[in-house]
Amino acid sequence: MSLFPISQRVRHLVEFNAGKCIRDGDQLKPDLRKGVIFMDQGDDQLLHFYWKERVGNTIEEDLIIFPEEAEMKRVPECTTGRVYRLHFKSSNQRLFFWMQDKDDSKDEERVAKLNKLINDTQSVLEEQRRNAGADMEEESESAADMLNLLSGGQDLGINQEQFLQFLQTAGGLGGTIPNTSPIGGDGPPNQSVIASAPSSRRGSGQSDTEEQQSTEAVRENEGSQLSTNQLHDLRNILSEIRVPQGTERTNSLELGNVLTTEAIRSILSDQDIASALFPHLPETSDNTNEELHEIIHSPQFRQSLHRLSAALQSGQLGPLMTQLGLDPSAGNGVEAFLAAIEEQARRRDDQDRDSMDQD
Amino acid sequence: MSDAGNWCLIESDPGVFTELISGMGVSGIQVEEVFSLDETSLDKLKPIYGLIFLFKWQGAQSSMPHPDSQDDANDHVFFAKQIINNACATQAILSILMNNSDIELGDDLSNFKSFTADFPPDLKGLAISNSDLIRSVHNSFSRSDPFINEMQDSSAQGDEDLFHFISYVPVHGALYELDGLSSGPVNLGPCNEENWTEKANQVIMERMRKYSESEIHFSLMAVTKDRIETLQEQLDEFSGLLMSLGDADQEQRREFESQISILQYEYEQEKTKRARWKRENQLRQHNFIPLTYNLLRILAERKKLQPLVNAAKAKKRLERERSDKK
Repeated sequence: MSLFPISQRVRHLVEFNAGKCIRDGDQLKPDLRKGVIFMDQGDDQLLHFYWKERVGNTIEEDLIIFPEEAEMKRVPECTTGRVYRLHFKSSNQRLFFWMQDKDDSKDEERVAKLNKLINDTQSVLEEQRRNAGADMEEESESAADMLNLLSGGQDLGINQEQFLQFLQTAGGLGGTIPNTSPIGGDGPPNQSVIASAPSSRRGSGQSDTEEQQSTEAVRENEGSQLSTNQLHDLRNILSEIRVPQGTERTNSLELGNVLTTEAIRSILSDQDIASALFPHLPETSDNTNEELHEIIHSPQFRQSLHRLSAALQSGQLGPLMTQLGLDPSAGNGVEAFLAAIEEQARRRDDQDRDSMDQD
Repeated sequence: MSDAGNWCLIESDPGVFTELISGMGVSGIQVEEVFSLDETSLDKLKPIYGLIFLFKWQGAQSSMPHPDSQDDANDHVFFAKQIINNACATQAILSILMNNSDIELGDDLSNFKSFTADFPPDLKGLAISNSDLIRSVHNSFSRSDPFINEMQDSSAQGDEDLFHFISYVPVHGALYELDGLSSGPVNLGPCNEENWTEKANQVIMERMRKYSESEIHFSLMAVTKDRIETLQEQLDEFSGLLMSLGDADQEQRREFESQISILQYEYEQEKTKRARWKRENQLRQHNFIPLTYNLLRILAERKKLQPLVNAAKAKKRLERERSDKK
């Protein structure tokens, strides 16, 4: 399967040129093809070790590595080449590679980086994000910073790993967290994170279907991943955010002011719209218009709007906005949030028109 | 209340409390809001294991003096100091559960009770705040508080002591007031199973009288046996009595039959209420962000969002002008 379309430069967590070694009896022989070793988080959120030829996209080796499970080490016995061994402690499996970068002075550094990634995935992820470039600053908030930001310095009882997990799930459609997906950097312009993450991750054929789906008038699949139980944590975050005082509140727009009961009633009578919202109802709910109507008028939904408004107003939700495919500035308040949703719709409209023109 | 930790504030609602209790592994318990303190309304709820008086206070001026513990009741009364304010509802509930030997605590809380049995009150409080089980059950109900608007009172800002929960529970023939902010359990005198609620009422009414002068909101919750179980038992009892009656005793028969139909009605009511609680809790625990986002997104795609936003802004402006004029 072609994982990475060559047209898109994808930043990997670790990447360096190396060839494989073929075991021939007791001897190791170099596979002369030019290759590259790289590591990334796969769609399964696990750390993967890949080897492929430098040209082409066919992954020849794809190994899942759990934290501290494997180690890469120089093979000192081999004096003719720079040979390294990847040793799986769990299975005793060994793979041999020879370094192919001209400059050998960086070998140890590269391997150290790889080992560090295996041993301490989270901190490498953060570092990667810090180095990801100035224009990606918003997205490159480290998980720890984000966690800290969201919790207002309080311990939320979720560790960084769980939080990353939740962000990844929140990203939807098996996309990864922004640091490895080409937002702001390599991706096609004007594409949302949700849309760009899967298309950069999957084969081109698949990404076409993705594209098609995303141009449908009603996109019911987007953001649906957010409703998984793992998002309990998000609820906790929201509940930690102090609801601002009455005086501030009357001056700022609330989501409840926009989504008035009258406004909602008229649009819910549209069956297409209603059906598109069914997946976001609680799992136990019936997918009927009456149920949707009842839930949207429930005090619990109203309270949720109120809390989300307060959270938006506090400016603490910026990083999460990227998970909805919105600009992080959407987290700067209710009005910014609404404006970003408007903008997103406009952008899609343009895209739809473009794709229609092409047809 | 140094460290709020990661305890969410939960809604003070009988449905929330009831599910919280069963979430901790305790079976056959229900929490009911008590709207009237007269004996007949309380009688209907019996057996009652304890009462929780909760109120919202406004700063220190309305705080009651906390009388010191008068005896070494810690030996036989489970009393925990309040460490985390957000946990106070859960703590008040635990104070009742832990002090009644008739309640089936389940494995987790039984272990917790025996583990903390010899702890002094402050350590017990710490143990509650550090219990993963209790915290995770508690936190599964996030804040969507009916008092939320009141919480925005200027006097309330930054003040963590918004809610105060005091439990009243009969232990070994004496009525105790358990207030996590006082130094220990307060013995309010002898009582028995029959008259303890009456005695507790006097104390609670006295408190209410004081607080009503300073406009404090309060409510009362009763921790009772599962109402459905209770009603079922009563129904069975009357059915049994009815069957044992001879044909001759028509008057008695009619009496029993009318009792049964009343109980059946209450039983159905109770079932309906449980279903409502369950649904409310599901909605409380649901993450509405995807629904909200998609609703807004679809509105935007249909070019309906901007007009709504403009209307909302205009309305805000109008409200503001109106309030400025005042």
